[in-house]
Amino acid sequence: MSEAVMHDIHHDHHPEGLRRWLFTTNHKDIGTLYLCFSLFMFFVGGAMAMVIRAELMAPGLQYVEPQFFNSMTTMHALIMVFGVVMPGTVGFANWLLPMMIGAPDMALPRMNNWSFWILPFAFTLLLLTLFLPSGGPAGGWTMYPPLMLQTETAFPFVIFAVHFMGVSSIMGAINIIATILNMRAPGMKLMKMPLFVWTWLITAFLLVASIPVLAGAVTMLLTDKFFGTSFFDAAGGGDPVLFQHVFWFFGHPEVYILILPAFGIISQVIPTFARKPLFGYASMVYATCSIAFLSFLVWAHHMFTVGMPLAAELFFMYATMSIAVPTGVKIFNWLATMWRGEMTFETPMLFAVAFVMLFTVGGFSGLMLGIAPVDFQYHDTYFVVAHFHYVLVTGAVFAMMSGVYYWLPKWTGHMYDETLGKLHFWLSVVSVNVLFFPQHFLGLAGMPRRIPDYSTQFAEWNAISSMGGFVFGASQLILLWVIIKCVRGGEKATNQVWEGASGLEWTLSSPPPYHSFVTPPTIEDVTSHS
Amino acid sequence: MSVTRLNKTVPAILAFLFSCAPELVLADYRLNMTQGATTISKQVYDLHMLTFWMVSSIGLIVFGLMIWSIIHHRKSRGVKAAQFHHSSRWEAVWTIIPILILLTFAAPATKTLIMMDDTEDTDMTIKVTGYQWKWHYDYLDEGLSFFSTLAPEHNKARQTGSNIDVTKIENYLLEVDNPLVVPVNKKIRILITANDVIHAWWVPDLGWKRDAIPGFVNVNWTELTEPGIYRGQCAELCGKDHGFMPIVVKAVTETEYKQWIEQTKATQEAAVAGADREWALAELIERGQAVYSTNCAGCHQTNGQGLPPTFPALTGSPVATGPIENHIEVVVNGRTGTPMQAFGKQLNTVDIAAVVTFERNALGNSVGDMVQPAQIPAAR
Amino acid sequence: MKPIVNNVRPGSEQLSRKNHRLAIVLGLVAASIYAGFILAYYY
Repeated sequence: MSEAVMHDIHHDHHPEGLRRWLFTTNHKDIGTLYLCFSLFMFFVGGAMAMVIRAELMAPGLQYVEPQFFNSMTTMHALIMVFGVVMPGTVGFANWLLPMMIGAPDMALPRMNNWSFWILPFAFTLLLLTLFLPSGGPAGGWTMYPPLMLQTETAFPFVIFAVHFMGVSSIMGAINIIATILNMRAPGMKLMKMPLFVWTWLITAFLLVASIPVLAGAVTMLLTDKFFGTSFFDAAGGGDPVLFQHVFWFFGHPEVYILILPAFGIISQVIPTFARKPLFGYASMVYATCSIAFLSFLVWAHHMFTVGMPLAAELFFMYATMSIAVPTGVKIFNWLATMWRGEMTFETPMLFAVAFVMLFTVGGFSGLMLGIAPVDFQYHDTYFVVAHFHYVLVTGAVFAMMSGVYYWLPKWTGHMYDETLGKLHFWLSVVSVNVLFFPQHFLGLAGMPRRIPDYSTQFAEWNAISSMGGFVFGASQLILLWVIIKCVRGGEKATNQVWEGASGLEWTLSSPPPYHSFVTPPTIEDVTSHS
Repeated sequence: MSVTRLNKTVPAILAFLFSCAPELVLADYRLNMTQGATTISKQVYDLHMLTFWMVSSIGLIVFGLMIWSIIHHRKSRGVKAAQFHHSSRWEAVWTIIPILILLTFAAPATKTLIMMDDTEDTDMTIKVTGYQWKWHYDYLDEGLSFFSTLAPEHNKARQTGSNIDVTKIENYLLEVDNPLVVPVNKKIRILITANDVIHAWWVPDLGWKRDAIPGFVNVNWTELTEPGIYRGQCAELCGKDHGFMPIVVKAVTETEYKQWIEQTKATQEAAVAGADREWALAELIERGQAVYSTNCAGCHQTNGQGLPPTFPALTGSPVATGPIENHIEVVVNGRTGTPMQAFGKQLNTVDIAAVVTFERNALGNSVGDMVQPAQIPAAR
Repeated sequence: MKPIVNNVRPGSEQLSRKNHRLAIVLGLVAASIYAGFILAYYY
């Protein structure tokens, strides 16, 4: 160790208050920032969902103008995807990756600080558009031209917000790859890494490969709007469908960017509460890799109805169906992990079991949507809305909730309130199904998505769905309360916290020291699987 | 929850549900996709049901096993955890079986897709063009074309805070002024495109939807066998009034279709008939009011106040109260870069003269001047 | 760049260089995908 470094240690002091959070290069602090940001945006995006469900509670326009409704659906999606699930899972990665692989911190701590602090600026830009005289973006989160090009003052705000989010994600991903590849403790071979580390390694590569594509697409939109190019303008020799191809070439890997870390969390939680090692560790790793690879070959199933040649439709249909195989392997492996285990059902496990079941429901509707000729009926209806909310809310978000309950005692040093946790779970799991399951029926009965008003034949299921939505929204306040309560105090958590937990992070104290693993741990006995 | 308590609770819930049944039956709780009215839609429905039953049975097995495991393999039952964590045989089982199941969907899906793609040997062609926010239908073999917009009564009821009880309106939001009339038992080629942004033309009973993309033409076909009215909507977000551009297809017999073509042609000729005569101010304002409410009120609002800044007010606006030549120019050629369309391509000269005169002498404006239909072509 | 206090362990400086090299490579990959896509459609 050089003298310069020793000198630094000598002067190591943690600034307090705002400066601590603004200038921090500590992976735990940055993880906390990401998670708090994600939670905050969850309520912002959730409030928009409440506006949407209130307007859709009954036929007729009661509360908002159609243009504002459209900007609500657009902003809700952008916030939930880029402001909640992505930062949320990055928060988990920041907190846990160094602890799981026995590293002292992330590989690039200064960049880590930067990649978080870009986000508040990006979302301030995005949210500010709601206060512009011409309103927020209303062309859908998919930003299809030419409609998106009709956006007025909000247009450059949205484009630059998306660019900032992209820069933040790419920097986060690079940091994660560098950490996992370079910072593992001696003996932590790749095939010994906990599955959460694996899923994040693959996710990070997906991010580096796909976010630049999105950035390219929105840059082309920007030049089309302001600099006279015509990438997407048919009158100028361009092609509006080109944008959709480029967008979904990013968009489908993005779907797995959202869900793979969730798979990782679930693969940590289930073995702990089944008190049994994860079944088929190697096949889980291979399944994750093949899902990631296939995700680059299926993008056009989001746009079966644009009118592609028959051969293309067939190719994308078969490729889409094939993703069901590795996804099925994961579900069966989780089931086999539970099988003949010694299960207890604390809140993390409840969310994990609900995840496996309800994500499977979303997977089934996904498979149905993948059948091209039937998709001509399903496409752009509430059936699709139901599908992606099952995989994202009861999928990604439930997995994150499971993870929060699972690691909260480790992070804070206190046990959370189990009674409140269970109450939160049961209210959420019932209401989320009341909210989203009827939307399958609405879509099949013929209700298009993104409409502010609808024919009276859709009134009943919409009313039920809205009621479920309000209960689900209100239930999340319990989560907020549980977290605040747990941070402020509670029963002291042990190092291992959960009887069945194994892995390096559980060998540290709860809460862990500010610098974890200053000396590298030995890996021989402590692995998440045997 | 213990098993005994579960045994009491479940029947209680069921009993409650059945007691609500009469009301539940009365309301419209449609669950499933329509079988539709064409060969395509029936095949699509069968495919939908095949996949549905298949995934439901897989779901039943998976969830059944999981619930069985949750009940029996829990610590409170005193079980000890097994420590197995790998089995190549089982891994192979749940890789290969799903592949086989997928093949059973893939075959019929491929067949249906090929059938839908066959747009040869059609009897007639209709071109559908999406506009913000209405449809234009062009009968290419007949030389007949018209716009189809949300019916006026529905348009009035759907305004925010209209206080009209929409449940009293039949087929709320699914009614148009001019439906697409087609003959039964004819294979009709449908060309789909758009004028401004991307729309999607969807009538569930036909079994498909297709995007309407500016600058590109999508080719599809349909053949209805039963006379009747089939309703649908735009299915691709296309801006403010995306939810308010329904589609109504009216299938009639061959003779009725011929009659309808003749009649519609006659009505259209009558509508432009007055183009070269002199119109009175009151006459133009009256006609202009009707044109305004179909074509302009969606954005500029019924009272002319608009929705600024995107949709400016007409009351007291520099265009509607300034030089009349400029006003005609904006209505005829639109304003590029804004949602204001070029109505010269959509309305006849009488309608343009009428609506311009109306806008200058109503909606709180009283310029007092007027324009004759005969003066409009010069501006075009 | 000097490793900062978070990452102090024996051999930190070499590791830090290794991390930065990898980050630069990945950053260039991302940048070239971005530029590549736009240029491919521009020409």
